[in-house]
Amino acid sequence: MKKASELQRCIRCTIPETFPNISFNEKGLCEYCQETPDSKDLESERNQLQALMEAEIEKSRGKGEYDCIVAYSGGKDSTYTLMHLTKHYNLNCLAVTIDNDFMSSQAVKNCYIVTEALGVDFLMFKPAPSFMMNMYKTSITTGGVQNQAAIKRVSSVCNSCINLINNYMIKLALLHEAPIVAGGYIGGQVPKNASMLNMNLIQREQLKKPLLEKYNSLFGQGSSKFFFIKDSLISNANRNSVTIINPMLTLSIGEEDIITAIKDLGWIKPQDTGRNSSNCLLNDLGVAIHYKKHKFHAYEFEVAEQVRYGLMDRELGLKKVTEIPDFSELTDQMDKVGLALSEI
Amino acid sequence: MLIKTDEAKKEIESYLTKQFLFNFDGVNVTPDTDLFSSGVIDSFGCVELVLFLEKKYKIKVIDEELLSDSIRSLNALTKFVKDKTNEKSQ
Repeated sequence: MKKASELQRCIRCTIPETFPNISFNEKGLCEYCQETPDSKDLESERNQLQALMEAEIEKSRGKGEYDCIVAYSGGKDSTYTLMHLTKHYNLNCLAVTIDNDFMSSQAVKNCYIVTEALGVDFLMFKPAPSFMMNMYKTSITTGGVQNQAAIKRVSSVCNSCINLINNYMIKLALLHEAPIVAGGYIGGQVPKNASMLNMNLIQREQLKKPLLEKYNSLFGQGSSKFFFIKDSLISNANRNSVTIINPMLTLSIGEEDIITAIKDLGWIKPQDTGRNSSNCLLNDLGVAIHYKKHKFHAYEFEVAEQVRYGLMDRELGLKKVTEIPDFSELTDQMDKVGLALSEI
Repeated sequence: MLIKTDEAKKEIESYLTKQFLFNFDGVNVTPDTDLFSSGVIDSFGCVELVLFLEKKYKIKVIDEELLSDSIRSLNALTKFVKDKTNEKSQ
């Protein structure tokens, strides 16, 4: 097997030959780079997305106990998002953190420090560790938990965790009559038109219903509360839709500038979360497993888009996707999840 | 823009299989399979699909059409695109 550093990669954005269905032209430019608009058009595209999002924000302001529920991991991107929504848009936010039992202690501190500095209400929710460990292990060892296409964007453990988080945020939005749910996703993590979308929750739940049995059998009876929203919660709420926004998709800002900006709030970069995360101690295990199974780094798509759009230096991008964590350094995480190397 | 149904179906099929990493095998997934409830496409996948439809066929997918029956299967999608593009050209 080729090392990540030996793979053929797009000469511009770093995406590798092992990425699903990727093609390169004779010059070595990938299909995404071939279709990428020039910087002027990109800026205009961002401005349009921003205008749409801002119109929705103005429409929603003051309509509930909170204007916005912010999915706040304590990492750099969601910290910047929370700061931006609070300071730039002056939104009344509830920051919500899911303690996934693998949060870096510095990330936990950052959550408290930042929310206090911004003067926003803050809620931390910790699902039972026994459930989370089972969810992680099942996600890793059982095929079909993850939507097949999701492998392009995220590792299996992260995918389950993200699904749980997104669902919880929507629930809280209904409970607090907050019209908006915000995430700190950056380009490449989600489609760019996810900067603002209205989600009909009745349709969402109807579509997911056939998956209920699958989730119960995979993660145990009772797990549905983490991935589904009961009809009664929707019917008792004052709305049956929420607006999802991801403001980072409308901004042209790179990692260094993000970190510089949030340091003013007292945010400190954790030193124990690996190369690709600024909050989670499990991330590297997800990356290592993803690479072993799929032969490309779980962050390829995200890093490639950041490089392609000029938000990340290519050399830094290459470092991020070619240094694959070694399982020998991940024994603590594997032990905690109850995972043996032979099960991967 | 007038489009031919067969052509559109092929284009959409090609996009779906490439983007969502599956095949229409005629057994588990057919042109009438609900791609959302069967777990092939999730909510973010839906957003990607809309982006593709809007860019490729120069149509606008409105909120009410998101996650609706009209975009859940290959056959439904083909009809949706055909109707939308016809609407535009009239």
